Amino acid sequence: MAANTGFYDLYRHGSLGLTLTDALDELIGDESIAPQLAMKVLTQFDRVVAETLQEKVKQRLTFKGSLDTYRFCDEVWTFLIRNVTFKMDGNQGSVVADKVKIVSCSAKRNDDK
Amino acid sequence: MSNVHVGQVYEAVIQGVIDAVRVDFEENGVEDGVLEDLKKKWQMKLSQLNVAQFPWDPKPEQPAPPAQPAAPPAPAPQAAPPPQAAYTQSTLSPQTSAQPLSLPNINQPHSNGVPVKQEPGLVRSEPVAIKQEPGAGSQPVHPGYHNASHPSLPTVNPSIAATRAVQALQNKYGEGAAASIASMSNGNGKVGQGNVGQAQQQQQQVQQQHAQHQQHSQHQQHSQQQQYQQHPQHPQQQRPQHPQQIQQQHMQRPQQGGPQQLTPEQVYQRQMQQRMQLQAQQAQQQRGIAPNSLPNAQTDGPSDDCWEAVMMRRNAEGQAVEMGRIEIDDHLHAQIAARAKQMEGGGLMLPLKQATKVRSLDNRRNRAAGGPSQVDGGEDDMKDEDLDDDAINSDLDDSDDNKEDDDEDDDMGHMMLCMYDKVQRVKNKWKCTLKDGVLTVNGKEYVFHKATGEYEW
Repeated sequence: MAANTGFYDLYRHGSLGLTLTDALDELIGDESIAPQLAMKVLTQFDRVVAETLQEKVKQRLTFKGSLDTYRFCDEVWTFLIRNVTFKMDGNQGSVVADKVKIVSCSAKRNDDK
Repeated sequence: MSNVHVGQVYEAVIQGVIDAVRVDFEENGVEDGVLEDLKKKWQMKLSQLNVAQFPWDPKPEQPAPPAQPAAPPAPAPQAAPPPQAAYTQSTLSPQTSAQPLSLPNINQPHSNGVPVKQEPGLVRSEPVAIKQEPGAGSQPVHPGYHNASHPSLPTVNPSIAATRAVQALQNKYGEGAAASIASMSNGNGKVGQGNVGQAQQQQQQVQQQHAQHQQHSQHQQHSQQQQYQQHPQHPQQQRPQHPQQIQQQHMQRPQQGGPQQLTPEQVYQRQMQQRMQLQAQQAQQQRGIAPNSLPNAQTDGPSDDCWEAVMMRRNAEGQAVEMGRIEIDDHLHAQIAARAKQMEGGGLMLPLKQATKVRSLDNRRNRAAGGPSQVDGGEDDMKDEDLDDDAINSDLDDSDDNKEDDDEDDDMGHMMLCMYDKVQRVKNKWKCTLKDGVLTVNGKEYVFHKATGEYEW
């Protein structure tokens, strides 16, 4: 799971990572860059995202719901929660979703490496 | 819940990645422009997702609305001329504005202005006239009818109507109407000899010419009286109600007797009319329809006789047993359904589930009916069980698969990517502490440093 640099490629599945992958694919299709270079970019991305989230983000979030499915495999928790209510502290209002999937990797292992 | 921080965080990530890979790009001999290209494409794609407001996005939305209120004052001076134009039009040419009111006049090329004016009066009584039928001579005359039409009638030039009728007949029936036209022209001669002051009576006579001709043709054709009566006048008059009104006028007036003189011709017409009514009533009774149950409401389409012909055709299988209406409907429905199925290519366009269902149903039906496939027999029960088992199994499998797919494929809709510090469970209550997460909910993204979640299983 963990890449060579010790960071998860988990965030590649978010919008930020998917758009980066799309852009890299286009450049590879144009033969502007080699696929190996694109892989390097993604590896850098894994690191930068993890660091940026750690350093720049201060918000706290609480959420409640009913757990539909849980799974723990290869140190990765996967939850499927229904009727979730999210609340940001210090922020007015809340966000409700009927279904949210949570994919979570171990923070400890990340730190250990 | 606001996500104003997301833009800044993502901007930082992008900038960090670009800076980090700059060295790699240089080592691979890739130009700096490509790196800029990558950054632009990345940012553009993120903006297209519209998950948050990004710093690199232009912010035109806020300034734009204030600019729009300033726009209306500019077109205002341009908008002033149109009212002026309308003013000049309405004052200088009032006829144009009055034209829509006298619409029937425009449609009559032979009108010389004066006689045309009868028509608005006639039109006024439309609602009554439409529902009345030639055979309904015994109905009371609408009082507004004579009030509206008669004062204007004396100005009618009867020859115009007659020539129109002749034209219409020629248009419609060509040579076949020669006899009718001849009789009409005779009638015209009589009309022309009449006193112009008694135009009301002339009008009647002209109408009687119409009716006379119509009755002739009825004797010739023996069918569809209503349809025929309307048709000859259509080419000249756009409003279909109007000819009906004339007919009605004719049909009702002889019944009134009263102050009006009855010429021998009128008497003859009256007798003919009564005979017609009798015939119509007899026909209705033969068909089993009560004479008062709106039989004359049918103003178009084939008469009932035609429908009976259709029914007879349907009957002709085996013995001459009459098919009920429901049976006929079922038959038609089956045919239409079969045709629709042909259009679909025998189920090719159907969803797979429905297509297979239909097919299995058909199989079952064939077996139940002892179709050609079942020659040896004796295994009906086994086959049915097999079929049922298959159907149930496949259905269950399908639904399960779909549920799994829903769960797994819906990732991009609502998803949280994060690290976990702690995941605890006591019986069915779960508590977890998460950090450094990105959350996508309802098309918006949020970032958090720490998150705590509580949920029950």
